[in-house]
Amino acid sequence: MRSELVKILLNCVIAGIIGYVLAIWFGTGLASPPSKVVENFAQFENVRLPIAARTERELKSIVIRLKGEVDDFGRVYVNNRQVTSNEDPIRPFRHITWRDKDDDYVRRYMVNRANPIDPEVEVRKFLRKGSNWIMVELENSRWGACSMVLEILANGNQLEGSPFFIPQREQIDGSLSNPFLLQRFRELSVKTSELKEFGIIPEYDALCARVIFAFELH
Amino acid sequence: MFEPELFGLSSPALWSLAQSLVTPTLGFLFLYLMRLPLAELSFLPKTQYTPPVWVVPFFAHGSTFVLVALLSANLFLNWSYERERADGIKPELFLVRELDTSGQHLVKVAVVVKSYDGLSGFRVLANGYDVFSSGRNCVTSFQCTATAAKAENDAREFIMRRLSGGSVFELNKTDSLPKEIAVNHYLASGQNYLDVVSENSGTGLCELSVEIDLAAEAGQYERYLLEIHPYRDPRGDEEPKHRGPLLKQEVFYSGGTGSGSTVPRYKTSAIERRNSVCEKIRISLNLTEPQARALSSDADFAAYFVSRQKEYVCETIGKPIPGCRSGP
Repeated sequence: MRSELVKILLNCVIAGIIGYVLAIWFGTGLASPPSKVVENFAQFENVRLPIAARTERELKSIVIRLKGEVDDFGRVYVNNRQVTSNEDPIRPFRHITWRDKDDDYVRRYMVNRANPIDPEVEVRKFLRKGSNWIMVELENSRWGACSMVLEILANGNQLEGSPFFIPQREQIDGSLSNPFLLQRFRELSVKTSELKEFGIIPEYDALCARVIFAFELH
Repeated sequence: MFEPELFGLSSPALWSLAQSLVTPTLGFLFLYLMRLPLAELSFLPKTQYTPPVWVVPFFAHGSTFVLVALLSANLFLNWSYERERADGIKPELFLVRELDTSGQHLVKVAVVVKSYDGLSGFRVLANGYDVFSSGRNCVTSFQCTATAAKAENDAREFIMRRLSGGSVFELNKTDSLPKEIAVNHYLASGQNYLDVVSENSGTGLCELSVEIDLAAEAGQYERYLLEIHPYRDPRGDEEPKHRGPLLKQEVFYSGGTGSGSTVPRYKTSAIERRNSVCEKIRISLNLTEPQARALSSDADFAAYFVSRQKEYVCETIGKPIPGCRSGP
């Protein structure tokens, strides 16, 4: 019986190793590594595609949807291609009233870069086999808050963590700037708080968030 | 929905498969270890038969092997992490140009937007702060042009026609080119980054020329010119280095190398260029504490940003408020 037991144990060890090798080499949708900041450039979030949407053959659709108002300047890129933004050429003139209401001054003065501004875009055609990334940039003006909400759907299913509320952490992602500069802004913010609208906060003109959602397409 | 998979079988499916194997495996193992014959199988009619001697060992070993392999695979599927993708993706995000400022007594660092095609997108960021960009500073037909006199006339006309109404954009400025933006106050001790980004819009090409000007205490100037063109590189198939020193002049052909259907450094199509990134250049400079102080004292820092904020608020609020001079 001892020899049978040894054989069974040996069998178990080999099976265990093979199971490990299969999981590591052929497993898909493994847990995502924690997010990290790359060279003060962007926050990297590794996300998983849902089951039955992980291969080129299975993934039929990836939809990016901007929910609600983007405050103030938002852009979304897929693999270095801008797919949507809120850079509407008529936006700068939206609240302006003109002395002469008969003339179409907006058309005369606007600069139309024909950038994509649809709040919902299908981006499957911009994906490739291997690593893909969706980059979201959000910038603030010198007015108000800085926020946007974004959904990413793969084959109609929300990705892990979607909808994404951006910025995900503080109002401004400090890791995207120089820490000493941010500290100076914070000190100035305290000193100028009595100036009301002329006071300074670190969020003014800041890149509030640059998040890269990276995923693998097999 | 997001569980790990192996050959199309999700982790829960592998668990249930393993569970269904437990009873028969234990049965075969019992017979094998006790050296008992396989006298009867519940799903076969009760007939007299003698199974060959290899049946019990084969199924005992086989089912144990499959069960353990399933359990092991399932455990490691759930315990393992995907490889980190950031390192693989980083090279296609930007090029790095290092500016060596060591030992220099700098009094000014400026970015000069020298020329621009008028329709593409560009941005200049200093340590993550927008200092000048097409999407914010070049939104009217009289902004960011090379014809300053005409732009001033058009801007005056625009101001005259504008009755009221605010905007987050500074519409009354012409920002004619060349436009110099001092970035002293956006720099601090330690690692600093100036980002120059150029993109194709849906209509335009990407012609952009940006200069980084350094002024030293002794009245010395150093200028570094970055020229971005939308065409294929006429020099051949050599790509710009991902990381290197900032040169006095560097020309980037964002249309890609002489041949090929992709722009290798950004992995974008060389044929369909609409809305694609043309160039993203990160200028990296390290400043010591005394260098940073010489560029931006506390008093100057506060004065600059308070004045900038006041200028912006008065320009964009669209109505008279205390602290701003009235009138268009």
